[in-house]
Amino acid sequence: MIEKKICMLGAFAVGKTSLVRRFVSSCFSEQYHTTIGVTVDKKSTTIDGTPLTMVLWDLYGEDEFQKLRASYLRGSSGYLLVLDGMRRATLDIAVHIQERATDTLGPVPFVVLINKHDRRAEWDITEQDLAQLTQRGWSFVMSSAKTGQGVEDAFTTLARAMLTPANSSPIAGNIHGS
Amino acid sequence: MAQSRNAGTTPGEQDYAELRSLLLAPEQTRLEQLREQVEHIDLNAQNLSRVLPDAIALRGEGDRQLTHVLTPHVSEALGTSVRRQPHMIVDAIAPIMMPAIRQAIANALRSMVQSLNQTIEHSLSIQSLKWRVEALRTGKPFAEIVLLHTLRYRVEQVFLIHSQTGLLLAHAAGDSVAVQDQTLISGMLSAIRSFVQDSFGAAPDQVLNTLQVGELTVWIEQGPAAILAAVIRGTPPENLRLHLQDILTRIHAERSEALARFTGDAATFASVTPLLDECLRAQFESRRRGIAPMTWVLVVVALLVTAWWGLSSYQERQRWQAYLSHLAMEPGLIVTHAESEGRRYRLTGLRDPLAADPVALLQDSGVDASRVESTWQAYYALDPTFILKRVEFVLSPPQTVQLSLEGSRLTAGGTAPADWIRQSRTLARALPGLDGYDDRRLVSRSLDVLRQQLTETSILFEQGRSNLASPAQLQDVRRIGELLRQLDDMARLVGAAVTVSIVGQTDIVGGPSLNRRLSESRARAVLDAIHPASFQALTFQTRGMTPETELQRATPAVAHPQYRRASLDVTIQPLP
Repeated sequence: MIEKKICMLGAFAVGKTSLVRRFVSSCFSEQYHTTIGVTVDKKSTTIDGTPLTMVLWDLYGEDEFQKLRASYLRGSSGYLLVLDGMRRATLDIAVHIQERATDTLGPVPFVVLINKHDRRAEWDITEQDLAQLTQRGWSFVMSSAKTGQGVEDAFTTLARAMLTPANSSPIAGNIHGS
Repeated sequence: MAQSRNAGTTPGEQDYAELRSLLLAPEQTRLEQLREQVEHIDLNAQNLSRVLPDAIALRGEGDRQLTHVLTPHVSEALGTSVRRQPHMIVDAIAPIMMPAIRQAIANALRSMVQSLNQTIEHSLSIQSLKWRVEALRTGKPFAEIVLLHTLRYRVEQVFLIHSQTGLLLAHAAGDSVAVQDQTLISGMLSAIRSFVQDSFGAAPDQVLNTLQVGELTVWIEQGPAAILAAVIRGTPPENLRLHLQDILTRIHAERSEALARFTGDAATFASVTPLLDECLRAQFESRRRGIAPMTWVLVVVALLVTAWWGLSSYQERQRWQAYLSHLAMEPGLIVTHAESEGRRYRLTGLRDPLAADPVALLQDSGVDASRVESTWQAYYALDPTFILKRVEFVLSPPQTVQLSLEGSRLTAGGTAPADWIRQSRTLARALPGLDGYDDRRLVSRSLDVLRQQLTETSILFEQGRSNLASPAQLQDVRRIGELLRQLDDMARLVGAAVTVSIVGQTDIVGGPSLNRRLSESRARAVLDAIHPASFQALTFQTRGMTPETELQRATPAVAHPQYRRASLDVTIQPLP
């Protein structure tokens, strides 16, 4: 059994913990709990015939008070970068986090999730923003921890990329939004 | 073939062939040789032997098919070899196995002694009773209470965690330890360490190395590429940390390359599990190096019980031997067989009915009668004391008879009635062990006594009278009659002629002629009173006797009542 460390990164309250809960336990709660420090969870699955355990480090969300600490990132084989579609600011934070992650981890695969797609109508992130992301070379998955949309897909894509030898960041470049 | 080919070809083709022959002749020759080799390749043993090792090595590197193919054949070959020449495998593995077996046996014995020690201690001591009460009070199992009180420390789990990723490399847990999700624990431990270090701004070499949660302590040792986390219940000694560091160092030394190249596959670290098992140590506070006091007490009690049992067995055996000796000395008892089975005894023998009761002797001996099974057959004992005893029992002699044994001849003395003498003569002949019976002294003495008794008997008369009317006279007559009856009986028994003379007497009062008549009259009166006809063997005579002249002279005027009497004189012919 191969184990891989995966970090959940993103600004605070973008839905990282909800995504992990949806992925691991297939459940969702409307109640918001802020993550202090780190919560570690895991999910075992099989990717293309290879058994894999994903050890998910759900890190606290970054804001102006708490900056991402490199020590949590170390050893990650990949990460999920989560944005809140309803908050434009989370995009800028994500860019910032991605740069730091690259500094710490090097070119490891990552997947960008633009979360809360179930409330698409209330989104603050515009098509123009999405186009900028594409220009940056990122591609992204529209996800919803509430409905489960894109969640399994995002994790599976990241896992496959991590298992592929000599993969380099950003694999999300191959992913197209849905 | 070349000619026909040449015959059918154009000049151009021939030139070309010639040119080709000139240019490529050596290569063509070589090609021909190679073609010959390929077409007629001989896969013989010699050729194969040259390539086989390389071929096996090459194939083994590629995949595992060679292993799969060869495994059953190698297994079968090994099995056959072992069956045919078992000593080979014994010789080969003995040097390896014997130390391991010795160590295993030593460990098992040590474990057994320790277990016994603990069992005794925990089941008999006052402390254990307290713990049992505590277990009842708290509802916890007794074993858990014992563990809580006696455990100094126990390493329950050990995690080997990859430093960089926080992923679990290997894990070991003690028996009966509840193991949680090791992957999550590894991740959280790593996260906590990072969190603590970051939060307090510690230097890179200052890391979290101890966690305390209730009775559990987590010691974390940091290595270059991996950390070793030990979950310990109780208070561990400091040298345990050194042991953990040593294990971690060894793991790094042995698996440095695998640690450096770790990409998530922990299977490659399965081989370090035995090293982690070495960390699963435990120490109990109440464990003593020596033997527990209760064990000593038990041993002493066991020794005392054994000694008491041995002593009582010895004493009982002594009593049994004494009983057998007593039986051997007891007349009329013969032990034919005696045996003991453990503490039970079996006895068979012969017993004269008149011998002492063996059961009573057994009770006197002190041997437990319930453990003795005895069977006695009746017989007649012929030893002298026993013959005499039996004679006395059978003949039941009156107290006036003395019986004695001279050799095997029985002699009777003293006095006895004729009936008894007659009966004893008959019985004595039937008694076993007797050659003869001599009662002459008995008969002689009995007759003599009767004669003496009769001689000493007299009947007093009133003055001048010769009749027998007073109660005293009649009583005397009856007594004389009884003695005469015995005398008659005895005379008939021995065939003796007995003459009884009844002598009448008077005092000096009166004239001599009167007194003579009176005395004769008195003698006849007695004769009449005793009915002489009833005594067949007795002859009676009567006569009168005048008083003595000397007596008259001495007391001329005094009446002497004692001379007014009739007395008896007995003559026995012949004496037996």
